[in-house]
Amino acid sequence: MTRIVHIAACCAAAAASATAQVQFSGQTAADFYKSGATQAPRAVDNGRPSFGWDTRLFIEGQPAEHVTALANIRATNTDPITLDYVALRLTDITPLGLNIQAGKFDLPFGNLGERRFPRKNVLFGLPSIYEYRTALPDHFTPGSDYRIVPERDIVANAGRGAGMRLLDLGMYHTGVMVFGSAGIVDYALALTTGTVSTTSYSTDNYSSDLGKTVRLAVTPFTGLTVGAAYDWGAYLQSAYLLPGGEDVSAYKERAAEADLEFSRGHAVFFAEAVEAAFTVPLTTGDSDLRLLGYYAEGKYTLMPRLYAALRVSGLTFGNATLGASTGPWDYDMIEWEGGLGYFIDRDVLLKAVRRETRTRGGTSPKDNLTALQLVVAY
Amino acid sequence: MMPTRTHERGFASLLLLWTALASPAGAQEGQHATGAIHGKISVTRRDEVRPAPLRDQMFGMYSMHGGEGAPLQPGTSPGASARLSEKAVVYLEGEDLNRGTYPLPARAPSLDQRNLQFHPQVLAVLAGTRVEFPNRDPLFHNVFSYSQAKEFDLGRYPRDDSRSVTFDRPGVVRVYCDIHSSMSATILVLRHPYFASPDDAGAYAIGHIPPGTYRAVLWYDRDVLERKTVEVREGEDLELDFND
Repeated sequence: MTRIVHIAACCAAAAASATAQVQFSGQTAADFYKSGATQAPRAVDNGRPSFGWDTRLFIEGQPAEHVTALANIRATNTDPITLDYVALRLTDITPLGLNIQAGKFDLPFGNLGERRFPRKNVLFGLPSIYEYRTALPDHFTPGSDYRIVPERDIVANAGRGAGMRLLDLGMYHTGVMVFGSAGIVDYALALTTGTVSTTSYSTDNYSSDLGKTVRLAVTPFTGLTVGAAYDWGAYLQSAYLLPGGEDVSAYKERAAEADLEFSRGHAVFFAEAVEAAFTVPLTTGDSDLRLLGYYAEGKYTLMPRLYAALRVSGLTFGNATLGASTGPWDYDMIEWEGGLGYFIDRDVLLKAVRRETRTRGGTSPKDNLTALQLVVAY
Repeated sequence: MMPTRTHERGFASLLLLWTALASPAGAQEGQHATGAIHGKISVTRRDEVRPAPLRDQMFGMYSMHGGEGAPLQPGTSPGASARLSEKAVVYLEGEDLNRGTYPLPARAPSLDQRNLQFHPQVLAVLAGTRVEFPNRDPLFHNVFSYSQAKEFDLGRYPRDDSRSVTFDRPGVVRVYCDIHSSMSATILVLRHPYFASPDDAGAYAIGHIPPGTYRAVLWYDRDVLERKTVEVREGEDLELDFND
């Protein structure tokens, strides 16, 4: 089904290009950064100064008044060319103003929105809940452990970040979504092939389950939006069955989220908190691993062209029995990121950012990053 | 092509002449020996719909009610063509005009934010004029400009609230919304009040012009579309059409 949706979306996009105006736009970022010389997950190139780049291409075709075909292509110095987003959007198709989107799109979970792109991201990285890798893998390692997640791997990964992110980057996934507005309420319901933490692999569905996402947001007055979302589904990514013929679909992720956006005058503020629980097939028996993530981010325009921004984000891990010991299944982390942005032109933004990461009790208790980024939108 | 002179053009021309001469339009007070210009603008490309820059707004869709990049309604197409009266301005260029001192308009002109567009999209003002920026949409806008003639950032304010900016320095001021990237307008800050916006049919008139030779400029949308040399004579109403 996933493939069919994809093919349909691509065909529609091609048809759109033949019969309707197609618009292109994009943004490209060039970076210079240097992190601390540690082995922590936030370290880059072992602390060596590096250059990087990130480019996005947005394509839109509108073959009919209420039909839009959209695509977003991403390429960076570390990732290959990726089709993040390819979807058909049918807007305002009933008297109720119902909208439908099918294809690969960002899940309606949280309020990251267009801040995922460098031009609207006031800092360098995304909040840690979107980027930081936990110790929990979402796939099995074929071998003598019968493809069950070994506790020792989780323990060994703690503080090193070899597993899933809480919210996987932009959370793009394949499926169908219904969304719309009713008065001051916005709603969205999505059915996709994964969960918010497992979206970076192929669009194939390895389980017999589908991810379900529900979101409601209320805007009581202009400038304040409060939202909440819930996502649940099978998260393990593996083509292998568990011992005893058990399907990976039996192991679920459940994630609840609340977010807030407030702006007025020259100040803009965003906050988000996510609590997730993973049912994990550990070698010593199934267990729920819990995780709380959060961030708060503010931006203030100091004068035309110049703004200051600050973000604090973190992850707190619940207790689990791993092997012979009971304790948090990964090291809590907290991160501060602050910086200045200067618009050289309307679509040319220069950012200078400093990030400090603390991982309590981890092998790399202190990590930092200094970055310069030049973004051009076109 | 030199413009045609009209002395007897019937009632319509007389009416237009009366309008042009009677309308102060901020013209120099106490000046009697003046002429006028009137005409019609025809811009064939005015019906083109300039596509709204897509950028990233379509891909951040979960704040439909005023969050970052929120559309006014699903399916709204910002950036559709505005009326000629909102996109065109005719003004004169001439050093003699720049030397005068002129009274500022009693009422501040306004650049509205409505339906995810600026209205008008081109606004001419006399240097020193204060311009109002009322928000008529049920969501935030953030009007700003980084133009040399005037840099400002008004921040975010809600519907029916307004901010104002005084434009002291002559020049071209490009105005945008930081939240909705498809919104743009141009403010032409001129040293003199000899400018006019056409009506929807394209008719315009500029009165109280000191006699002299000038360049009449048609500004359309984002740039100069046409320039013509004109000689304004005392007591005459010159017909000057622009056909692009």
